[in-house]
Amino acid sequence: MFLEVEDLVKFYGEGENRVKVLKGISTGVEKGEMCVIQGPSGSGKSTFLNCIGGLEVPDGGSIKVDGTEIAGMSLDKLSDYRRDKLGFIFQFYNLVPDLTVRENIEVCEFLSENPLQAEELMETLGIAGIGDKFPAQLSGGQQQRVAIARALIKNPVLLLCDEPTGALDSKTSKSILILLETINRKYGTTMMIVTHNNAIRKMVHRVIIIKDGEISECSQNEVLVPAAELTDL
Amino acid sequence: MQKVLRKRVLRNLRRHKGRYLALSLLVILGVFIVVSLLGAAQNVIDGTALFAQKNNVEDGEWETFIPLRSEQLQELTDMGVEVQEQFYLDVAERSGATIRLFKDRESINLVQLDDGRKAETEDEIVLEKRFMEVHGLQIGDPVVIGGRTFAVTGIGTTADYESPLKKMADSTIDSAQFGTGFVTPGAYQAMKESGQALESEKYIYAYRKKDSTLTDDDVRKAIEAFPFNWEKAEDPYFKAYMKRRIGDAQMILDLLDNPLLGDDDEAQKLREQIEPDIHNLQMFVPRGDNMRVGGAAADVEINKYASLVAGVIVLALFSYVIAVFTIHEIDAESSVIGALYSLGVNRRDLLRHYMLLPAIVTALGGIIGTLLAHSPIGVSYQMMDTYLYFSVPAIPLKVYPYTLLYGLVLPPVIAVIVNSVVIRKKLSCTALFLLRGGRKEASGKRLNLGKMGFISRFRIRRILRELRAAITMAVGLYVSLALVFIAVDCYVMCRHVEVDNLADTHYEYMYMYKYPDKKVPEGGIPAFAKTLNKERFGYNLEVTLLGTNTENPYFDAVVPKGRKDVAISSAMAQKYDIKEGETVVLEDREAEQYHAFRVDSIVQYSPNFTVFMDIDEMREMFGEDEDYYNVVFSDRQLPIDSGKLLSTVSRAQIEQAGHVFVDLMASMIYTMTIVSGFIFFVVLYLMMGVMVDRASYDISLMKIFGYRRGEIRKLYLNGNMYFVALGSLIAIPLAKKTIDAIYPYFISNVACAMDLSMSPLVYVGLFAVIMGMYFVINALLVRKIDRVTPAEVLKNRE
Repeated sequence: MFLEVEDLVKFYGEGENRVKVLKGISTGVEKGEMCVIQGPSGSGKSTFLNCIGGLEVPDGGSIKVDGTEIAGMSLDKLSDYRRDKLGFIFQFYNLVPDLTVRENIEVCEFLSENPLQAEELMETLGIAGIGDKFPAQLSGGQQQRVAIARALIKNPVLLLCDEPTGALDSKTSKSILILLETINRKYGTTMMIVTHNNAIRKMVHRVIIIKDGEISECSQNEVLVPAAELTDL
Repeated sequence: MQKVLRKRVLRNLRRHKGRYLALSLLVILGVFIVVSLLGAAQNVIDGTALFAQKNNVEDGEWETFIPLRSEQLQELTDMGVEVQEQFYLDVAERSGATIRLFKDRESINLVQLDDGRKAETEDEIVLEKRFMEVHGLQIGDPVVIGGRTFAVTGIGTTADYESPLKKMADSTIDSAQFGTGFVTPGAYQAMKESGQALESEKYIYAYRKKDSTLTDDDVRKAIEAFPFNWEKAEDPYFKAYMKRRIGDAQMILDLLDNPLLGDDDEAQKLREQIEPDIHNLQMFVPRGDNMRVGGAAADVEINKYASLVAGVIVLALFSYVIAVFTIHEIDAESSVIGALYSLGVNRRDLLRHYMLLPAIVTALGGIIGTLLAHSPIGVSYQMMDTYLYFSVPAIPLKVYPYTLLYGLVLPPVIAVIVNSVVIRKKLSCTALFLLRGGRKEASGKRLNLGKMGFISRFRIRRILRELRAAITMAVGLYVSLALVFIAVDCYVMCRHVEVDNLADTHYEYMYMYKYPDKKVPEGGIPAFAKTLNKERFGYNLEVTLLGTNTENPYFDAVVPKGRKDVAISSAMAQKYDIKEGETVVLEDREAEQYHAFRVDSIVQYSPNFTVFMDIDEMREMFGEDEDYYNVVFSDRQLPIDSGKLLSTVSRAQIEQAGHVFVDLMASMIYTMTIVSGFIFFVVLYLMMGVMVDRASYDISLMKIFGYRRGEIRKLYLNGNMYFVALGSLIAIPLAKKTIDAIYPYFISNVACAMDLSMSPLVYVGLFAVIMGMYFVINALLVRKIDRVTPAEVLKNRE
C-alpha cells in the first residue's frame, strides 16, 4: 500500500471537553489511486486528511506514506515530508492575494528540486494566458486551477484535496474534476479528496465513508465514470 | 451596543497586552519628556522673570572712565533714571579663580539669598550660588580672597549675573573659574586699598528708567553729554594713554587753558579740534544686549517650542502605529464587521468602538506620563540643567494648565484624530465586501516586477502589501534619527569647539589693552580689535573686527588689501551662514554706524566670530594713528601691567572652556540618544511584528507547503532588511540635513562656532547600530513566526 493508516486516534480539547475525533481508523490507498473521503459534518474526515498531511499530530496509531512513518515525526521532519511528497488543494483556493498567478505557482516551484514545467502545467490547466494576473482578477474556477497548479508544480506523490469544488458552481466543478482526473492519469498522482459531493464517488478508485470518527464504509469502484460524464454535481 | 463592544476592548487589551504595553511605554515616555521639558521651560521662564522683577533687574548698565560726579548722578535722577553704583574689583580666590567683588546693592539688581544672610561685618561675604556649588562651599566656610579671609554668610544670586560670564563676550559660563561676591562697603574699601585686585576698579552703573517715555538711547546720550576732563581720572594708565594720544597738541591745549588768552568761541573750537573725541562713557549695554541677563529663560525658550512641536510629531507617529494595529484588527474581523453592518449596526458605532482602545491607551499613557513629568524625575530634574549652568535662585515649582492639557488631552485627541481618519476609510467598505472577508488591494500591488528573482519579487510585493506599516517604519526611523541628530549635532558641535578652538589658537597669550603703550612690548605681535555687532535670529552677538597683516604668525588669514575686502573666521561663516563673495554688515553701536564688507575668504578659526581686515586700512577707517594697536598676541607671557589691560586670554583658558561645552551637554546628548534609540527599536519591532501578524495566514500556508523556518524567515522577515537598510541610507542624510537646517535656531543665543560636519564613520556607525537593532528584532520575531501553525489555514477552512 502506498498509504497505510493503522488504528489512527485523535483527540480534541482538554479535561471534560476532551473529544475523541478519530477512534482508531485503519485503511489504505494504493499508489496512483484517487480516493474520496466522505461523511457528515463533524465526522472527522478533515481531521483524518490533516493527519495524513502532517498538519495534525495524531494521538495514537500509525500513518505510513510511501513506506515512511509520519506519526511521531518532529515538526521539522513533517515540514520536509510535506515539502517533498504532498500537494494541497483547499476549498477557498488560499492563493496569496498580492502575488500574480505565476508567482503563486512559483511559491511551490521554489520548494522542489525537480519541479514540473510551469508553462506546460499552466497550459494543461487552461491558465496559460493569465500568468500576470492577480487572484482578485480571476473567477473562482480560475483561482482553483491556479491552486491546483500550485499544488502540482512540485510534482507531489500525494495530493490532498479538501472540498476542491465546494466553492464552485456545477459547471466549473466539473471542469476542475476533469482536470484532477487528467492529472491523475498523466502524472500518476495519488489523490485523497474530502468532499460532500456524492457524484464524485463514481469517478474515483476508492471511497471511504467516515462516521463519528470511525470508518463506516470502504469500497472500491471496479468501473470508473469519467468526470466529463458526471451529473448532479 | 457600545456596552457589549466595550467588553471586547478589554479582551483585546488583554490579548495583546505586550503590544499595547510597548505602545503605552512609548506614549508615557513621549509625554513624560515633552511635559517635563515644557514644564521646566515655563517654570524657568516665569521663575527668572519673577526673580528679575522682584529684585529690580536693571534696564541696562554702563561703565565710565571716572566715577560720575554727584551732580551728574542727580541730573540723571531728575531725568527719571534710577542709578545703582555697581563698582567692582576682580580679586583672585585661593584656588586661582576670580571673584568679582561688589558692595551689596540697595536698589537695582538686588542680591536674592537662597540661604543664609547678608554680610554684616568686614570679614563676611555672600557668594554667588554656582561658584559655591562648583567649589563645594557651605555657609560658614572660610574663603580666602585677595589674601583676606572671609566667612561665607549667604548663598546668593543676582539678575545681572544670571549668566555669570566673566566678560560679556564669553561664550561659556565657567563657575570653576569665576563667580561674584558681595561684601560690606567697608570690606570693599579695604580690598581696594589693599592693592590685591587683579585689575583696576571698574566703574559700572546699573540703571532703571522710571519714566516710561525714556529710551536707552536717551540715557546714553545724557551720559555722553556730561563734560569729561580726562586729566581728573584716577587711573594713571588712562591718563598716560591720553597724554600720549594728544602728544604735541598738549602744548597748544595748555596755551588755550591760559586765562590771559580768554575763553572765546574760537579758542573753544580749536580745543575741540585738537582734543580727541572722548567722553566718560566707556561702555553702554541695554539689558537686551547684555548676555549676562536673561540667559536662563532664553536658553529654555527653544526647549519649549521644540518640545511643543516634537511632542505633536511623536504623538502623531505613535497614534499612527496604533492605527496600524487597529487596521490589522479590522482586516482580521472584516467578516464580523460585515455581519454587524448587515444586522443594522452603523459605521459610527463601530468607529467609536475601534477608536476606544487607541484613546484609552494614549489617555492612560498621557496620564502616567504627565504624572511622572510632575514627579521629582520630571520637571524638577529637567530644571537641573538650568541650575547647573545659570545662577538663578531656587524656583518654586508651578503646575501649568497648558502643560496638563498637553499631557492629558493631546495624546487621546491626536490618537482619535489620526485613528478616525485612517479607520473611517477602512470602515467605509460595503457590508458585502466585508462579509467576503475582502481586503482592499494595496496601492502598487499590481506593479509589474519583470524578470526579477522569485524571492526579490515576493519581498517587494510584501512591502507593497504592508505599505502602511512600512511607511510607519520609515517615518519612525526618520523621527528617531532626527532626535538622534539633535544629540549628535550637539556633540559634534561641542567636540569641534573643544578641538578646533585649541587647534586654531596658535598664540599662548592674547592681551587686550584698555590703554595701549606707544611701543609694542617685545615678543608681542600687535593687532587692532574693535567689537562690533551682528544680529542672527533676533540675537545680537558680538563680532571682533581684527586689524592684522601677513606678519602676524598667529592667524592663517590672508588679509586682503583695501577697506572693503575682509577675511572672516570659519566660526562666523558657520554661525551667520556666510559664503565667500557675500557682503557682511556689522553694526558699530558706539558710533551708530554700519560697516559693510565683502568676504574675500573664509579662514579656519573657531574660537571667535572674527572679521580679519588689513590693520592699516582699519586704523585709517576708525581714525587711529598709523601705529595704533590695542591687542597683542604672544607665544609667551609678557610683562604687561594689568592696569593697562582689559583682559588676558591664555591658550590654557581656551582649552578649559572647550571642555566645559562637552561636559555641559553630555547628559542631554545621552538622554536624546537613548530615547530616540528606544523609540526606533519599539516602532520597528511593532511594525515588523504587525507585518508578521498580518502575514500569519500566508506563513501558515507556507508551512503547509513545506517551507522551512529559514525559508519563511527569508521571505517574511529578511526582506525588511533591505527596506530598513535602504530607508536608513535615505533617512540618515535626510535627518542630518533637516536637523542641520534647524539646529542654528536651537542655539541662536550661543556665541560659538557651529561646525556640524562629522566623520563619515559616524554615519557608518549609525547605520551599523540601526542594522544591529534590526537583526535583534529579526531574531525576536522568528519566535513569533515559529508560533504560527498550519492550523491558521485550517481555521479559515472550517
